[in-house]
Amino acid sequence: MSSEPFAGLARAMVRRVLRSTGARVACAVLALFVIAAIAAPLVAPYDPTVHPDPVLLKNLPPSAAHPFGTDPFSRDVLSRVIFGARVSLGVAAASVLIAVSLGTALGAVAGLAGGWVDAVCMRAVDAVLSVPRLLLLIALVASTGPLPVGGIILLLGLTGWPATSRIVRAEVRALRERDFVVAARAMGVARHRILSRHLLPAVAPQVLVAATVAFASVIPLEAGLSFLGLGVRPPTPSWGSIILDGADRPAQLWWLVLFPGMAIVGVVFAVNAIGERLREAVDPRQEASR
Amino acid sequence: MRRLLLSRAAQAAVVIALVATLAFVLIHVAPGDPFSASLDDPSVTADIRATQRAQWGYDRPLPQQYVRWIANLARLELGWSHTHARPVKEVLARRVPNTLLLMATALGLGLVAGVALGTWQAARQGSRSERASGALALLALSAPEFLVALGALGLFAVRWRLLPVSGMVDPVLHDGLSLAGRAADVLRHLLLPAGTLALLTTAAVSRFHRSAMLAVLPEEFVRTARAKGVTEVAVLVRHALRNALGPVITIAGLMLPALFGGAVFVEKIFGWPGMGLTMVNAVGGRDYPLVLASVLVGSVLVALGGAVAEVLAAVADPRVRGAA
Repeated sequence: MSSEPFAGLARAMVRRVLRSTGARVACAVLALFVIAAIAAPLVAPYDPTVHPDPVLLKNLPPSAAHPFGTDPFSRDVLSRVIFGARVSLGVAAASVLIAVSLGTALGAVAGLAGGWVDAVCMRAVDAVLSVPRLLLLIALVASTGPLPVGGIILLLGLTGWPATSRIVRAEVRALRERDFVVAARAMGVARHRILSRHLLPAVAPQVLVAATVAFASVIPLEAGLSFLGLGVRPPTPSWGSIILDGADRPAQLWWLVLFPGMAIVGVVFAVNAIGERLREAVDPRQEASR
Repeated sequence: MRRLLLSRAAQAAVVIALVATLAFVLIHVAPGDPFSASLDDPSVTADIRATQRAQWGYDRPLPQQYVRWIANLARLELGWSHTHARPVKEVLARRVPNTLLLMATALGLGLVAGVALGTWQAARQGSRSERASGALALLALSAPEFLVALGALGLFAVRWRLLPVSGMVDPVLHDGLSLAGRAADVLRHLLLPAGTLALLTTAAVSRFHRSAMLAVLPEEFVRTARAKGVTEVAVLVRHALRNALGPVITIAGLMLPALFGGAVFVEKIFGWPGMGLTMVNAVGGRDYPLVLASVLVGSVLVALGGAVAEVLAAVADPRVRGAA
């Protein structure tokens, strides 16, 4: 009985996204990147890690044979950007999944428990949120040494949960006093069942919005770490590490900055645009100011 | 007001304690100790290493080490930087002011430009130029700092040669210049890095300020002012802006962590000799005490800045001020 209004909200969210032209374009852009990432071996014209001719084929500007040019190791930049989509989008998606799951769990526990558990959890969240995440990651990577991709995912996931947990906690606290939850509690429904049947479906839309925000912030973060040489290690292409290859001469090797840069901005902009429409569907007050 | 001050001070203290503890844990999770990385550095004698080990108590049990670690931090004894061959305290003392100059300039520029843009957008609500500027702001927010910085460097410094490529002062001319000339020299070097950070600050602030203004404009005191015949510009600036100022300061405080992260990239790319550049280079040189100290000092500065912003926001809000 309680899931009915939320199914309605889910439909409203989809409608809201599809109604706006900007958001439809954003969905198409995002779909394009995801397809490119999945079908990378079929779409990419060259092998992204092989150095075919480090003398004759290095640092070539864009041409018909290499639409995005080649890098200092003579690798095809277009192929690296396409395979980079795999790494960048994959790392972002996996780490957001970890962060949002952790955040939802902690936020729900804090919100349901109330009292000192809640107070301690939220002070911890405030504390973590006020530490620059990049500094935290730099300190972590510096102490662990170079990490495989799985390690990067884990670090990004473990440092990304506080924002989600704060949102979920606020929602759960508000829902706790609503009639359908009070009624369920009065009927003697077990706590974990109230959580899974009544509260989690109700916070799902908010969690989805939080996930778009988390995704839009983790893409630049991974790119930035890889750009600093602390993220995905060569020769694996990530959008950030491709840019690193051209970073010492950005004016001469502009294609090494511009094309992967456009990929980053394109994905983040698309996710932000979709996230904004979703937020409007979840919180109609936002729409009033639009 | 006093309650707010106390609770913010307590929260800042929690952050500092948390970061200090985390740094301690990291030291002990990492293989070896912070001084083993300097083994291959000839400028670090066995003597220095022994003194450091004794000072930090690496031969003691963990709880004692922890107490010593906190006590050392409280006295600002942050260890020895082997890449700079001097105490970490001295390295950071020279770099922190440069980062503060960069961030304060960027924040100042970004707040003024963001408030102006947001106010204009609120006044032109729904027009085509308003929507276009909103989309541009979102686009700017979607671009990572290092990308904007590389673009600015490539175009303004390398291709068009309008501004210096790197550093904080001209390495040859600076010392021979007059005081005004030296200030102008720093300013020229500051323009691109601070401008990069200010662009992103402007975009973020304008988005918040626009909605804050839109929330204030329907209020009765605004309508009263209009009814009295106050001009539209005066309504926007004197009445609405003053009420929206609190949220702007709050946002500035909340943006500090991201701004500091952005400064790391900007300093790295423009060779600005601040904490961010020091930290990134220290990671490369495996100068572990310097990395951790930079992270610690950076987090503490950001936490203090956030606390100050929250108190200022309360002071700027007439409702809170009246209640104090």
